[in-house]
Amino acid sequence: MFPVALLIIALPLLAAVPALLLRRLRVFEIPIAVGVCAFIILLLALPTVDGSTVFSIGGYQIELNAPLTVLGRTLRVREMDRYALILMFAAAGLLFPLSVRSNQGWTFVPLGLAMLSALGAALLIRPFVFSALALEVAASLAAMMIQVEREEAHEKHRVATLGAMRFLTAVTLALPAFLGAAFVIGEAANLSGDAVAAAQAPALGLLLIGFALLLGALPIFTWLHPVSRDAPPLVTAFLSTVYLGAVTFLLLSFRQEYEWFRAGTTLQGAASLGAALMLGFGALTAWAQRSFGRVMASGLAIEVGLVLMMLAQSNVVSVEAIALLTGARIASYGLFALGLSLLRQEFGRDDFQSLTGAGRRMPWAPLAIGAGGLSMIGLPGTIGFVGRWMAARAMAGGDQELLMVSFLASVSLAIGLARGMGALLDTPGVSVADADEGTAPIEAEPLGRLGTLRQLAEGVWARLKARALQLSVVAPAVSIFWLGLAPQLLATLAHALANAYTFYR
Amino acid sequence: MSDLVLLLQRLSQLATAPLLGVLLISILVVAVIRNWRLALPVMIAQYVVVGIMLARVAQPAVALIKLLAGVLVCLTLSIAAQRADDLRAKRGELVAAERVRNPSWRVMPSQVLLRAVATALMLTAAFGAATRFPLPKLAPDFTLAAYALIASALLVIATAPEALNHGLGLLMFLSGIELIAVPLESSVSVAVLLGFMTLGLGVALSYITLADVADPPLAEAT
Repeated sequence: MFPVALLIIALPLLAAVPALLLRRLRVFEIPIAVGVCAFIILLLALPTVDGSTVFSIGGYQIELNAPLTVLGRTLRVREMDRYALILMFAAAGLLFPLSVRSNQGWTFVPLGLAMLSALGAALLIRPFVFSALALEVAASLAAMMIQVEREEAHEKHRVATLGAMRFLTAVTLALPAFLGAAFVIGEAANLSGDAVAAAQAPALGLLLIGFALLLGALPIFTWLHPVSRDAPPLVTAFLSTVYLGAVTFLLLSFRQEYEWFRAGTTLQGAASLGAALMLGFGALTAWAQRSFGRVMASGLAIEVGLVLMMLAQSNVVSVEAIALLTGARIASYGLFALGLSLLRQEFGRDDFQSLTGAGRRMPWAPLAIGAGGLSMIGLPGTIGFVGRWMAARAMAGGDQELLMVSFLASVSLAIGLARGMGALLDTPGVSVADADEGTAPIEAEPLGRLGTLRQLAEGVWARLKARALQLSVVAPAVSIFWLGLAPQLLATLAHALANAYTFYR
Repeated sequence: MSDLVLLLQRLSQLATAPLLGVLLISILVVAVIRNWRLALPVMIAQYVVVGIMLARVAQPAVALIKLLAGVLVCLTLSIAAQRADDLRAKRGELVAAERVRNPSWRVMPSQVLLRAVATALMLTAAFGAATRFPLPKLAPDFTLAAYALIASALLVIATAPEALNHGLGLLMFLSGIELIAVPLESSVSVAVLLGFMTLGLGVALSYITLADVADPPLAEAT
């Protein structure tokens, strides 16, 4: 009998090998990755029959909740992890195909799969000190995804190592916090009575510091802006959905499992403070950004602020809001990142001034950035609005000032986005016009039969690629508005996820 | 392998003071000198000392994992750094070997002195912290070694702009954490995984080191 935990960890790792070998052939690489994600989602989403979690596939017995023991540690898919994992794998499965027409570097799909495996292990393994170690592995992989070789990704875009190093540093600095907390909890277990609570107090502080570092909330913006600037855009979208989602759900599972972690008001206070800082800085800075990469980073900071705002609440709606915000990020940040990636590939930069009028040359890029951006700011009618609306509902009995700051942050982001879109759709600027001058005229050469066939095949491939581009922009754009108007599918998942937790009851 | 374990076990019976002395010197060198041709061999020496110290509180085989992982990482980083230097040399930039052969005495003292003073301050702070906030279940030499490694690592992380030196800071930080965690943690698997973590971090750092130099100068890109 196979425990699903084993498949969650082993399958993406195994699939990473052929994906790595076939990295130059995206026509194979992407279906492998999407297939693995879809298979795992299927395993996790299969309904339990009469309470039994055992099902049979091709003669193999697979059990959802069976424990997997590695080095004496147990990995198990609990009900709450089930939906969180569905969301994470769905995010990855939807983001991988967006790279079909916008090269994100050879690391994106293979290391993305390996990272999924590490993040899955982080969610499933206990005691939690091992989660921190798994997150460190994921961070090492993420650093290599952020820092792709220049020729592989956006050719003219300057790549610096700051983003990768900041991300790696933040996660590494979080490691001792988790190790320290594990030690404190271990020591407290030997005590009894009131001494236990007093002994556990430092563990809470250490874990709060650890999670703040992992979420990028401490120190504020430490890795969000450099990563958004240096990483290929879809890698940033991957980190914002899959990685941030995993850390958020890990925090929720801590609240669920450890009474000492959720007792008192320290966690709520710290989350509120973090939310106020992230949203406040987002509101102050988003409107003034001068490049799409930085607009994306500001949007991410606001998203982290919103998640922290929800973590400060203790009701079912707040957990649903977290799931909806994470789900909405897949479409909104994925599509925005795709548009940004197309612009960087074509023009080598993403600042508004250089891209003046660029939208007229590449209509798909402003469409992607526009639709994704509208969802990022939470405009009614988009999927982003569903998450914001649920967050507002969760705040009904909470801090109304914080809710107002989140609204102002969205307005500030909208101003930043409008400035960028204005530049994109303006009359072409000098730098965009220059891009045309570099193209040398193609001289016609007499072709043999083989040459003609090759030219024909290249023409068909070019058309297919153009179709793929249209599809990869139009499909997420339509889903943003469709799910914004009819969010039942995502809402059902969010509702099931929220019901799997009981800490708020 | 068993000979290595035996050797490590014997070395772990050495007096503490010389080990601590070598460790502090290695910390000072890595924090002050930013030339990989000098810093990486010193890092290897540092890993040997950390491995010997770990062998005193954990199974020698576990300590050996840390030692070997550290040495492997330093070798990988040196290959990456050499390749990076070759690329720099092609672009006509000054490389590490030349900086060792022909040190620029007019420029160097200001940077080196500043780093030396900052490192001395950090080591003093580490010494103060080791005496005022001793860690539970840890011998004073372990506490001092761990604090010194962590404090200097934070200094290097905060001040080194190059990926390689920044990465050396991260590796030193991880060594410091291991000196604290391994004696405290009853589970062998945590110690083993922390050793492997060094390897994972090293691979990522080598990759970033190469990518760092593949970068064109800013003026060229803009």
